[in-house]
Amino acid sequence: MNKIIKISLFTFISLVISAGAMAQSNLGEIIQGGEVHGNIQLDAQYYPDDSKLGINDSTLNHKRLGMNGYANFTYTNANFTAGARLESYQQPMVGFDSRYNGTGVPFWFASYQMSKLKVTAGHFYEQFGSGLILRAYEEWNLGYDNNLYGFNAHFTPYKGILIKGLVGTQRYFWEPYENQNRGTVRGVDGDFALNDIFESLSTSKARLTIGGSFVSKYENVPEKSIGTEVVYDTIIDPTTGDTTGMNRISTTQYLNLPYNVGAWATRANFDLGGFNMYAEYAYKDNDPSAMNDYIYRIGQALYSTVSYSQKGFGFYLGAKWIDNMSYKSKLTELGTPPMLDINYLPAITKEHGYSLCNIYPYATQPLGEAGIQTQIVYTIPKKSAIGGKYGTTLTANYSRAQSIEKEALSSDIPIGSPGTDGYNTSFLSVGDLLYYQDFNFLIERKINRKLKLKGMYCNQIYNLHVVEDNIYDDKKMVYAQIGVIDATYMLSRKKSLRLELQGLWVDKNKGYKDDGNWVAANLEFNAAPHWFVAVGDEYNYGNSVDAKQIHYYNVSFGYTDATNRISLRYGRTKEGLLCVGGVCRQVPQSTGLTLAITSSF
Amino acid sequence: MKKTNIITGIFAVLTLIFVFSACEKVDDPIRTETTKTWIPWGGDTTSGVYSEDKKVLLQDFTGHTCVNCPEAAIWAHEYSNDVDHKLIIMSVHAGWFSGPSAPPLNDDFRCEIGNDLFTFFNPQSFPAGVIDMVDNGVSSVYSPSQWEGVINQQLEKPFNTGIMVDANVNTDNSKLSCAIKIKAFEDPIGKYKFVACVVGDTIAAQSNSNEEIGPAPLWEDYPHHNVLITSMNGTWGQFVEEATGNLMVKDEEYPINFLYDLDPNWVERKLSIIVYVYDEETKEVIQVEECEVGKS
Repeated sequence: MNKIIKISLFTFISLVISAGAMAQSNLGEIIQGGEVHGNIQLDAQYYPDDSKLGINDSTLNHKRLGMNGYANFTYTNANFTAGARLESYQQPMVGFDSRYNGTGVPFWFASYQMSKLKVTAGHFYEQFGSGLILRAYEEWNLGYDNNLYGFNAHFTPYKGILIKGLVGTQRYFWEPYENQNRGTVRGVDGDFALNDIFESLSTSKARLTIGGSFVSKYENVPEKSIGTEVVYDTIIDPTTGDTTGMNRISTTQYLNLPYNVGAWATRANFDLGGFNMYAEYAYKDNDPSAMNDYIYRIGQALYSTVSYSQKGFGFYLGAKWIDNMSYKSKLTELGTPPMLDINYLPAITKEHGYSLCNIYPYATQPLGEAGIQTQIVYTIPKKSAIGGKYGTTLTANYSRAQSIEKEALSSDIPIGSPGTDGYNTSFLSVGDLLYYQDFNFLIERKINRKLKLKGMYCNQIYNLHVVEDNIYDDKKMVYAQIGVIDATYMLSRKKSLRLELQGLWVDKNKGYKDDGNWVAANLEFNAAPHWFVAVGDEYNYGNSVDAKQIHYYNVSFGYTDATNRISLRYGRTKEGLLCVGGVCRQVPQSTGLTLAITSSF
Repeated sequence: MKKTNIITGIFAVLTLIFVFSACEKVDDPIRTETTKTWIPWGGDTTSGVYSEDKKVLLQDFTGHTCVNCPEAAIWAHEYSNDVDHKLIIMSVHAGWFSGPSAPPLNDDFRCEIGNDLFTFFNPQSFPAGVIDMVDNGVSSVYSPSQWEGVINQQLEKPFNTGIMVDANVNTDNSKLSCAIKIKAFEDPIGKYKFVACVVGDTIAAQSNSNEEIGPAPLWEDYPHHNVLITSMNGTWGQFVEEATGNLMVKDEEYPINFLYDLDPNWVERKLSIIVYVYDEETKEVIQVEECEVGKS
């Protein structure tokens, strides 16, 4: 590991100096004209025993202290930029993959722009369109990072045209790319803003942008057998009748796996006043992998959104349809966190801010999913009879995800058989199995100068088998209703009290009870701009196991000074899924004292 | 503008080359390879006696970076002694704790068969045991605290199949020859398959959290017993009757010989063959036998 760090640092420093020297004439000028920015985040947790949660030395593997931290530094001088991120996990905090253990520089880059060309060397993040066939990004809270290591070029040959090209290998924890242990990703993308390209359209209020991309991965694929049949042919001596031996006839079936898997996508974005419409279609070639159990089916995805907004009113409608769109740079990669994803399938369910609304989040199902989401926001004007003195904002949101139709290729080939096309389906078909549904309604109203109230109701249906266990049936459907009251009272111009009350009720007669009912309360005192103190508790009073009727209490306080923030929290964390943008990781329950420091300059 | 057009043209040509060369349509996904091996029949090399007792198979899902696994493994081996070796242990290195880590924990005992078993049984925590592949209605995976109860329950079960096994490895060419006989004591109700696995002992570093059983947190010379190396007839084996070309009937003996090219790295170590017969429908193991591999 040390060797890798040293090589990375040496390469990075060399690139910074040499590229900088190319862009400028000498080091002195570089230092003089440059700016350095950075930000740091440090999270450390101490884990004591907690007999109620069954946490002791054995379950913690003696790891009493976990620490995740990073520091980003960026140097900019005219058209030249270089940066690096140091990460340290000593040991990784509970819930983060143990393969992150260590310290190093997993991300460094140098880039410069000359005229119409911008080139980045090193590590980089990139997204084509909405990410259906390529998105390299990092999500610290998920422990997810699939940055690409290689070259990335942006070229603007003409006003309104942006061409991107890249080649690289993806990050996999601290494992260096060597001996072709994972695939290489190549991609090109074009974005064409028609109003900028054609002078005649430049004054039009309607704006149309079209784009297209192509991505390919190369992988030195492993030998993969899907079964061996052995038969024995006994040979008998015709004169004596004795067995003289056997012919062992072994027949093994191997998969011819593709070394190169390509995917392409096309998209359009239309704007007119407050109206926006976006649509993207993606196609992926045969991509047998551990994720899809080595079927050779093509992948397809359609993602589209329509939105409209004007003062006091907003409308959003989104839909997506996905079939066999898991796309990774290593075909044997499985598991959580979902590493080596080349693409990203946008989430189409609401990410809630309230904790009990997030007990049952939705994780995108890349092997097949049809989803829809709509949201309407309306502000009843202030000083009206219903809107009151300050106005009232109403938000209604509905999302639903279901299976897609899958039919067997023939009566003697089960759905998903390795080495086949897997199944038949029709484009945009919707299956019967419900994966997730969430209807929620939020009302926000300022009662007077001091008091602001929010009320929220969520009605969720959660297919636990599909979302958590990849079992595609309806035997564990959770029907949950959540109510939230959130009140903020201004004690003075800078001091406020905020009280949050929540309840979650599971309909055990209708479906699977899971952990049963919850209540939660949180009281927060803020003294802007520096201090906050909060106490809270989430109580699983409805758990059918008495020993699991646990209070997940928390006490926290924090101090903010300019761009520095330090906070301390002691309490319990409940078990569950943590999802950001439909990508999830499992969080185990824990008790701990957490110190969090963030800073930027 | 002229320079820009040239660059744009180069970009377009490169893109076209890229698009047309960077994907493959596989028209024929499956390739079949057949090998024919002549096995001279050397007669019965087995002990000549079928066990009169039911034996139980413990597939111990483990990993060398799993700190709680040594305690469970040591318990299992001690319990096997307690029950006169009627408990047969197969250490399956697969999953989160079995990949190579920083030295000295850089070993990798994973194998394709183990990975398949891990994927199929999907243990959610380590250590975890699958006992006779018996399903309790919810799962086939048991935590160590449940092992003794399930093992005892399986030891009491009636069985209707016997196994004899003998094996020898030629250390010069790493060829493993194995003779197996399977006999039905009564007409089996279900379709029975058998799996013939090779397991081996080795010494390697292991994480450990229990100071009472050995060095912790790192046990540098931990003796790994019965590490699953491979199966000679695939993850799920083959039908007994198909293997011999006969139907499995009461009192009939079914001889099967294997000639197998063993990984030379394992040849000099203590090796054993574990053969188990299971009901193809329920997956439950009917009988299991273990035999140490001789050297020549």
